[in-house]
Amino acid sequence: MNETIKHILSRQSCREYLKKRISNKTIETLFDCAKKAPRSQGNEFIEFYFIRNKEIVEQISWFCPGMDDIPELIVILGIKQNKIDVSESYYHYLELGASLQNILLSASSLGIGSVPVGSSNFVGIHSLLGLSKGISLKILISLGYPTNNRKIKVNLSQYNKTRSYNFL
Amino acid sequence: MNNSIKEKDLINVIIHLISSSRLIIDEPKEYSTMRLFSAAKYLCRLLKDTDDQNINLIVKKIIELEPIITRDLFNKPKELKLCLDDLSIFITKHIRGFDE
Repeated sequence: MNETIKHILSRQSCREYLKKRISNKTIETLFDCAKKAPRSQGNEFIEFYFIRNKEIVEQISWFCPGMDDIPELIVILGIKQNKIDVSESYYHYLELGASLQNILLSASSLGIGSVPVGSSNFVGIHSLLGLSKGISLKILISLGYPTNNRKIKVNLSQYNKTRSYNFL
Repeated sequence: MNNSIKEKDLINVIIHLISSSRLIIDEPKEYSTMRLFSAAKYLCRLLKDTDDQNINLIVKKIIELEPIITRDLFNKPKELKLCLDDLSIFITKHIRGFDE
């Protein structure tokens, strides 16, 4: 099994982190991977926020009831509303989803644990960060080195339970 | 009350509760128990340096139960009810000592 497939199949949500700094170089790598998601219509819909400042990270965590531990890094993906010409368009969500998965998988390959935190008060966080009205925050990811040394182990049992697809 | 508790710490717990209130509108109802219990845990953390033995026991119990309530019993309403009922009894037994 190659490394890419291994990380796709073995990545798990990680909610507890070591107090170990994530380097600038690593953050740049995560950003490069996030940007490399397929783009729709050549537009740049996504706005990326990488937050490592301890005070801001801690304050944001109080706006995220779904967050268990204070992470070392928070990444927030937002949509630039003014880039969306057609209100019914869903392309920006596809792009955002691909960016999100690129961040999670690249982090996993670098030994960094992560979890997308759905339960986040984005209105509060938007105001806290003083962002412009044109930005709509959509998903927050907490990241950090895992507290336990997780060994990469591919377990497909839970996926096999619901394994069905249309093959024509 | 512990004099070292800061207003900022309490405001953070309030932010957690307000954020939870807003988010629960769109989330499964099972999340409500989890969020309220987490808030109780945060308040207990503020009380962990108490000199009162009874409060200390309650605080320890709630912090110890938090991962069980919010993870292990999250989707098990029967067990969750029993656990919270037992906790309520535990708390009442220990608050009786407050006036003694």
